[in-house]
Amino acid sequence: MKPYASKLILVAILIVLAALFVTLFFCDLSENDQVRGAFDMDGAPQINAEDWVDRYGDALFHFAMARVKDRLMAEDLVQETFLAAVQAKAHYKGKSTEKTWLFGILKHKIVDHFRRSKTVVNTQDLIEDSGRMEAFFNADGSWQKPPHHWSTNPGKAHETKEFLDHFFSCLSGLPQRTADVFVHREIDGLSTDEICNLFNITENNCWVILYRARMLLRKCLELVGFSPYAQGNES
Amino acid sequence: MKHWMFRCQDVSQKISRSMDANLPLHQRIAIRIHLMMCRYCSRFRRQLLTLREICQLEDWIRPDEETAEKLSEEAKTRIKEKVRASR
Repeated sequence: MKPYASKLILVAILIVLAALFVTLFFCDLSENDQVRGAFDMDGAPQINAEDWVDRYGDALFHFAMARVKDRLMAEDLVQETFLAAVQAKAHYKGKSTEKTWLFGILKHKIVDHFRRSKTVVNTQDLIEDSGRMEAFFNADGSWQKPPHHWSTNPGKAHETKEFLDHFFSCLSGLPQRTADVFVHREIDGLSTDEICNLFNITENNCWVILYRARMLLRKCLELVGFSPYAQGNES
Repeated sequence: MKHWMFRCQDVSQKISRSMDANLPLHQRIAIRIHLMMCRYCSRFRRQLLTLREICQLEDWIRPDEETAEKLSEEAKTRIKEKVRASR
């Protein structure tokens, strides 16, 4: 009797531990709360637009300058950003920091700028059959060209800079609507719900567009070859 | 073997969706198991997280560092004037 009881207790403890392990291990797969919301906010911020220029002007300019490599153009982008912010401040009130919000606007402007200047990596040319996601997979559903290993190293300013360059030209080269949905989701941090309302599409449609955007972006980044990040093909 | 969790194509869709919505537990478990077996999909997931990080990036060099580009004083004044005029 006794040995059975101790065995039972042991088994019970093991089961509890296994259950704990399963819950802890499997439950962290929800990435969707990580986007800092820049737009769904409550409580209006105290804004003095001229203060902004002193406080965030240099940081915004530095970011823009690294993207467009032209002082005048970068100044223009920063100016457009502040003007747009003044226009928009009635609609958008701050939960995220002012800085994040301003950077969000600047990134929109940069994407627009790249599109106008046509210095984009056109994904339609670069990726054959870019409209059909099935083209990325074999008939049995396995990867046709497996994703590379990206050795991302956020500590290295130079690598990050290069990565960002490619990122913005790839992003601006996506089909416009696809890029817009992606920017609203990842840069502005809108939920898919809000995006559905904005573009008047179904939630399912929204997921499909985001999936396509992500597939094309990562493919484009691998094809243009950001050298420090790509290490061999199959390693 | 035709369950979706054995097809990278379907799993990659679910991974993308997991970036935008909370998937039900059984799907999360299925994805986890697939990820343990499939390094390509693990890379794919890692890449999507990298894309997200890069989107959220603001300044990777502190503005006080020497290499940082700064707005000239004229540009600042000009922008302030424009901002004032636009209100």
